[in-house]
Formats: sequence, C-alpha cells, structure tokens
Amino acid sequence: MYELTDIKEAIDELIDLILESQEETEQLAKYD
Amino acid sequence: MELTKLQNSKDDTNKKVFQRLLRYHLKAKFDLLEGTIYSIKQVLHKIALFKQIELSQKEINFLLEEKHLEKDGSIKVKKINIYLVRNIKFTIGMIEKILHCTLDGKRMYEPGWINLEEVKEIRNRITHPKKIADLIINKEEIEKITDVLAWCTFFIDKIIDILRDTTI
Repeated sequence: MYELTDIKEAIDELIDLILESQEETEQLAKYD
Repeated sequence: MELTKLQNSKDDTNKKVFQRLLRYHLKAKFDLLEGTIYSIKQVLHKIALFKQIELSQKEINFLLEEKHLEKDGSIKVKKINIYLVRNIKFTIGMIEKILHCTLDGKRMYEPGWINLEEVKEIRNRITHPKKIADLIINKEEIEKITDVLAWCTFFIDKIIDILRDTTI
C-alpha cells in the first residue's frame, strides 16, 4: 500500500518529467 | 528560426531543413504523448490503490499496460500494445473515475483529435521508411500534423493542470 507522501511525490515527479520533456520537444521545432 | 518560418521559405535548403525538423518534432511529440499517457496511468493506479477505488482486473491490466495470466495458468508479466486513440479514451475514462474530473469536451474533438490516428500512421511511415519518398511530408499532411501537434500540446497541458489540481 502507498503512503500519501508516495502519491504526492509520484505526481510531482510526473509533472516535472512532462514539463522537462515538453521543453525539449519544443526546442526541436526551432532552428538556429 | 521557427518551423513556420522555414515552411514558408522559398529557399531549397530551408525546405529540406523544415522537412527534417518536422520529422524530428513529430516523432518527439508522439513519444511525449505516449510517455505522458503511460506515466499518468501508472500514477492513476497508485492513486486508485491509495484511495481504495475498486478497479476491474481489465482496468488494472490496461492501466499498467501489462497482463499477468497466461493461457496455461502460469503467471508471467507481458507488455500489451494498445491503439493510441483507444488508449487516450481509456485514460480519460480512468481520470474521470479516479480523479473525478473531466477534460474540456469541445477541444477534445477539434481537427487534431480527428486526425490523430492518420498522423500516427505518418509518424510510423517516417520512422520506418521503405523508400526515400516515405520521408517526404506533403502539404496536406503538414496541415494535419500542425493540427495534431497543437492538439497534443493542449492535451498534455490539460494533463499537467489535472495533476496540479489533484487533491488526495
């Protein structure tokens, strides 16, 4: 069974991961 | 320089660069979309366990994208493949069931959503080309891809909003 802190940590980690990946993806649409 | 500026360029080199960048961007965006769906389902499963929300074995299998029981009765963990659009619909259903919130219905059915499966086929074609021509994305496909990329951004942003607003 999970603790409340595990769930909150999993949510925060997922948000960070998505945001980071999203930024990397957007960089691919730019050309210097 | 951004993709849209390259797209409208008359210069041949810029046109080639545009095609290459569009291929990279399309592949990366689908990876992000599929990764986001996979990851949120893992988190939804944890939340469901924590909140003691009853899930059927099939729902658990599709949340974890794996099945455990073989025909002979032995237990093995096996990865299952799910069609992207069906997977998104299932994920939306699970978000509603486990987090008690809904996605913006109107935007869900914009052209990007309608063309998602078709653009996924374009993504597969450019990822595994059989001939050089398979790498070229034509004008009509570019329009559909543009819609789908915008839809993906909307959907992923929505997932982030939902996660941020989640109260356990």
